[in-house]
Amino acid sequence: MAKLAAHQSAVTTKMLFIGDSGAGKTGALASLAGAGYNLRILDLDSGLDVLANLLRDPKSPYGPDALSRVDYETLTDKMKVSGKRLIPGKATVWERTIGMLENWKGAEGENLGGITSWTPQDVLVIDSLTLLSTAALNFVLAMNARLGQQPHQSDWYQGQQLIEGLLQTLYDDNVKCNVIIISHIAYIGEENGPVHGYPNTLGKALPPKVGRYFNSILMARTSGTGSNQKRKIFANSVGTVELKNTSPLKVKSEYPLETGLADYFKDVRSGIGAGPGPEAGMQ
Amino acid sequence: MSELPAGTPNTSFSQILPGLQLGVDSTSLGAFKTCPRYYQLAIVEGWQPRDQSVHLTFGIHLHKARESYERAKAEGQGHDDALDLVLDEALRGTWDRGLKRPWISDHKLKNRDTLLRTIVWYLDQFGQNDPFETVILSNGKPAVELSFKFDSGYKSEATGESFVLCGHLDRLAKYGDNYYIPDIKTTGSTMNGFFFDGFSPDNQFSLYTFASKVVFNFDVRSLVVDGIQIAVGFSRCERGLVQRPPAVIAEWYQELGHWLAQMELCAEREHWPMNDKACGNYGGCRFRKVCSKPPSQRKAHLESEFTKRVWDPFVSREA
Repeated sequence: MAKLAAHQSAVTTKMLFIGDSGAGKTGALASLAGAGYNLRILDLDSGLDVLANLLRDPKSPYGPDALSRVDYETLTDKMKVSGKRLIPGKATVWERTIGMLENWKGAEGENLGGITSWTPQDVLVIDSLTLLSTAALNFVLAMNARLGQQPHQSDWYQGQQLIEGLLQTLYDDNVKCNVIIISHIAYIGEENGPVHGYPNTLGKALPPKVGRYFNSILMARTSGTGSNQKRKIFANSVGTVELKNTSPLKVKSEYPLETGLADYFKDVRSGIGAGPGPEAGMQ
Repeated sequence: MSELPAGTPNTSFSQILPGLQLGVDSTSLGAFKTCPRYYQLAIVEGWQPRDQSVHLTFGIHLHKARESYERAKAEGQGHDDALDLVLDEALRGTWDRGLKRPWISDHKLKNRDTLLRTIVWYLDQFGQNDPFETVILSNGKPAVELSFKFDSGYKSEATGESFVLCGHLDRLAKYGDNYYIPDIKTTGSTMNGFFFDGFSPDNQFSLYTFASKVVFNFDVRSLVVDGIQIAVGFSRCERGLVQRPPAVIAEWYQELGHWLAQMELCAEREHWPMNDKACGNYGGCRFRKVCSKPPSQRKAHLESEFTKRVWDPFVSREA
């Protein structure tokens, strides 16, 4: 038996952060670096420009040290032309992703160890589940010497197994760091049934199961147009997209994108005295 | 081969406590886990059906083909030449010189024709374009049919002798920066994802992963099943990943102590109880008819329907 007061959700956030392309998901990470968390980002989307620009700007509201708290590794495969199609020359992203999780090598050669050695002060970010899923499927195809070809049904299944296995690992209690997996939204409808928004991964069977491996599901969303455009982070279900959080009594229904993730982390840890506590506040 | 003619001394068993196997491979351990009585008959006493299982014969030739192919490639031969060599070897291997006739199998899926076809189709897909490159050892030889033998860390309480784990890895391969153990498995059924799920948990693969770290110092994270569906008109190859996280291997190793203690208990009592819930596994146990008979009639049935051989995991395949 264990004391509920000591449950890891009090100090660790395992978050699925979803939103359509351009909703501001990657840029929203800046507030966590500003709040003192160490971000370690697996960048499969090759889209960290916005985060770099936000943190590098002399007028950045996230403080001068925030940039130094972000480590990243961009993982992509070189493409080649096959017939009239572009296909990966070699499928390496899945393998390299797993390798980084087992033994993260920093930009300056420092060894940050595996994710099981990280602390609640650290945040693992995978950007994004969408491309991680493609990487898993490509790995299965490459393994079968069929890279670039139409996947067989068993390939989909095996790819799903790889993704689900990884999610299970990240949700494991032995992983004490925070985890944020960024994902696009796939709208999937059952036959004659309602359409739901799910994290975009392989097939139709896996997306509805993904949420169970996270204690928080938040969504970034843009509303309005032109100068009235506002970007927010939602913590309660929106439309056909089911969201969830660990502290319904403390968490607000929506947060501003600029500070939202840090605010959410602060809110779910408030009153327990067990959180990592920001080392640097946003200016 | 670990299989030796009847009458050959079995060096894997204790001299102090006959019936206690000290050299344990995945076949022996798997047999005991399935049913102690099956283990007694198949491993301790060495009974086997008079006709060698067609599945075993087919598997031996297929594994040999992959091994020979890798050796030929490591010597610098191209795919076509290596395949020619392998086929020549398979043709000779399935020819009974004494009887001047080919190996005759009454199995519609596993016979000489389907063996040759399977070798060609399998190596065409997973030979010349194999993304898993066979590791070349420091002696320049390919890492195929690697025999291993190491102290398990467990000892017999009764005799003080060490239990030794042993076996053979088909092949050690590299993909990117990571090491894998590929292993060929055949089936008569359509392969889907569930086919590969059948290897987790699995005694053989857990032992192989453990051995790769302990003996060969390769940090193997997964095994790769080269699944081959053998049908009347085709052979279809699919590969699947079988993962073995360190925590799973640690659990397997811890429970190994329990199973070895059980083996010792049975040897001390000279009694290997029947697990009558395993009789129907995999199409039915080969000893089902034996165990169905009253104990007084079993020996006669064994002697009429079975023959004896010695299963000695201490004998390496190179021997």
